[in-house]
Amino acid sequence: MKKNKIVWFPAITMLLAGLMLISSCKKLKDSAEGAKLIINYDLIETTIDVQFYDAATGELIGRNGDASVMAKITGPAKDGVIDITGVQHQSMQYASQRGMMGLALIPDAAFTPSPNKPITFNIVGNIPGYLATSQKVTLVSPGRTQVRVNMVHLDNPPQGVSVARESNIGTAVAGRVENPATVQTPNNRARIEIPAGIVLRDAGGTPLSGSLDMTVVHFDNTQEEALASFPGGLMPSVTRLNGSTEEGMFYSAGFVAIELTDATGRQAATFEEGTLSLEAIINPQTYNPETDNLVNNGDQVPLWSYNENTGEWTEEGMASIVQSGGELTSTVELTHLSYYNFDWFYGDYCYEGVPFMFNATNTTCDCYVMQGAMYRQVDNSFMTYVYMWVCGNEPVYTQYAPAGIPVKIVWENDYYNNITIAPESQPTLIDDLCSGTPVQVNVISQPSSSITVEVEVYCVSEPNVTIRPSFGVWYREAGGWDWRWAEMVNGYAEICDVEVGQSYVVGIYYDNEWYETEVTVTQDHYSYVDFALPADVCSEVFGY
Amino acid sequence: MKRLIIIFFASVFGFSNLQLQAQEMQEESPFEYADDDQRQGFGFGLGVKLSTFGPGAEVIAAINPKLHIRLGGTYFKYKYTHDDKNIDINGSADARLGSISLLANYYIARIFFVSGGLLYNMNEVDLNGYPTKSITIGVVDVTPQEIGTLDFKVQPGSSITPYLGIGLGRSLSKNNIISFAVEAGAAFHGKPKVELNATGMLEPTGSEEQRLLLEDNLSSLNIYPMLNFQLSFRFL
Repeated sequence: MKKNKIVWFPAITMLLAGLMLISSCKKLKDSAEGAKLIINYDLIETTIDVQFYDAATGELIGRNGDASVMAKITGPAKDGVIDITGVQHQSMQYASQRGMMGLALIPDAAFTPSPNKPITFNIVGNIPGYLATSQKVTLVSPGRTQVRVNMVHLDNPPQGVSVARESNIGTAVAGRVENPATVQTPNNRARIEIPAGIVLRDAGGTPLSGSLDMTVVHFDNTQEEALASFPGGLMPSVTRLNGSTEEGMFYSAGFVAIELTDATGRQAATFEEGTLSLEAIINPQTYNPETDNLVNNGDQVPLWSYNENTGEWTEEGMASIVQSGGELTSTVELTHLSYYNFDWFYGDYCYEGVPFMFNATNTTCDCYVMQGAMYRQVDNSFMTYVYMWVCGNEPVYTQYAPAGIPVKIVWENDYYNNITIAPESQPTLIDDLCSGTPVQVNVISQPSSSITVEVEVYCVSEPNVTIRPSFGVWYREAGGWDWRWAEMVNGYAEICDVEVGQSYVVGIYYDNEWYETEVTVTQDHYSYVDFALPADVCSEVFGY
Repeated sequence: MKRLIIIFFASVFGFSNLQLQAQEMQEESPFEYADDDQRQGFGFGLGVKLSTFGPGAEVIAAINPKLHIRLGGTYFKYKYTHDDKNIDINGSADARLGSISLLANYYIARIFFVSGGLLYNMNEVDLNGYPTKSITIGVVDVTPQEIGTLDFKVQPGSSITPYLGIGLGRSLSKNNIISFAVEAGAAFHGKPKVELNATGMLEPTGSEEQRLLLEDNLSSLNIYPMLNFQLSFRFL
């Protein structure tokens, strides 16, 4: 009996030990079940959100999805421009969708903007029916930048812009114009005279041939809508007569865009055996910074021609302003065809200027946009649009600003429903954009609702890899047309000033395409995880 | 004759305990205690061992022939680095096995024993992965530093680990200098603790949510198997 007890004890213990051994080895193969490789896709450090507006209507061009602006990127840093997913088109051409376009800079040291190494490029916009235009973009720090490009519809120009479009003004044979022609804008704001015998060639040297069409557009520098539509903007890079390159600000006395094409659409660029004569009316309300007075008979103003590919203005010489027939006019002889500008140039500027401090009455969203327009105080002349991305109490620095010029900013008050500028800060006056003294801007912010959104995407071919994307999102109230912007970083976004129960259209721009959907907000948090990306996106962007 | 041969080989190789055990195997059942065993007194010795906790050594005290107290330690570290520039991802694996043990063997038969006690469990596995090459997303080159690294470490849930096992042989010989024992058992270290760290773009992979998920997946591995081979030398 004793013997049996002794045998049973180790046998049971061995059995238990065996079971423990088996237990300790099971399920090893399931140890990673459910775990994923989660990637923050936050490579892009600098984004440029571009909006193309019709200068007359103030609407986004093609907001219904019926037209796209083709934008070519030119200028010194064009090779650093990509779309927001990191894709670069070899042609450097990008198409707007709903009037919007999302660009970014390659996150590489060569294209990381700083005050010591600003990044500059041009957005050259073209769309049939509109005057081709461009906008210089100068970035001095990473982050988010918004660019507004106003375009002039030739059949519906904004106030202060006069358009003459004339067909068959003459005939060119082997480039030579057979008969003289004159084209003038309504109210004779600008007039072009083409002499007989002049030879017209395109930029490649090919002579124009056949019937000639001409478009002449005059911009009145005293009208804000016209100034805001100036191709190239009023903060340009210029090449002086001595060949030096400078950057600064224009005091404009007027602008004329001229396009001369033949029957095949070939556009005249150079002339031989003659010149074209341009006469432009100078608005007597024009401020002359040289005399610190209104422009007058006998004043001199520099003439500039524009290279839309480089975004640079080239000084052509001086033009005289004379009193003629009750108007102040300036007449110049053109040796090549381009856009021409009568401007005084002011070259004192800073890349990073005064900090703005936004003081909100209530806690607002993490970040919100303050936008407005900047004017010179001395002549109340439009200078540029202002967009500031305000995050908490962090200062917002002005970029690429003229120094020592008193300016004012008139803030737009209808961007948000619950964030408005305080009366004492509207407008905000600044003596010098390049001083170090912070500018205080008071903001009235009502406690408002916002929603948070989480997004995680994956590629079907790699289901165990989850990507948390970073990109810009546009949204607007359903039925409205004022798009607001929100930023998603690593799959998380807080969207400001959104009402529960209200419907919104949410859209993103990706690879020349626009994707939008209408959402009725029913909760304050949305989670879109396990969202499968289209296969072509996975292939193009991630290589999956 | 058979007995003489065994004695001869045991003498040649110095394993006098085998001689004894051979005698015992010849003369009596291993499940029975001989009367002389009951009379055996206090003993003391040292042992060397090779176990699933690594190689180590022990101090063994025989309180009486049925009860041996063992104080020991083991340690083993292995590092494997995969460094092949021709593949996109490399990594390293660090495995550390080790324990400080205080165990008691209770002999339920001449050479069968049950062992139990506590271990200070130093086991740890550390896996590290890192990219070796840049990847291109669109036209954007992403460096290995930007992609980041992933570090996965597993430790026992409890450093103080109860242990239970059974064995065959003598951790300390009754009458001779050298003895040999083998034992199998398990250490109850509880649900393993997981550390998960990631850097760069992989940073969210190391989230607390993921760590808890892995810990839950590994929670069934709360027992560590023990297999121990031991050679002991009796001094007293």
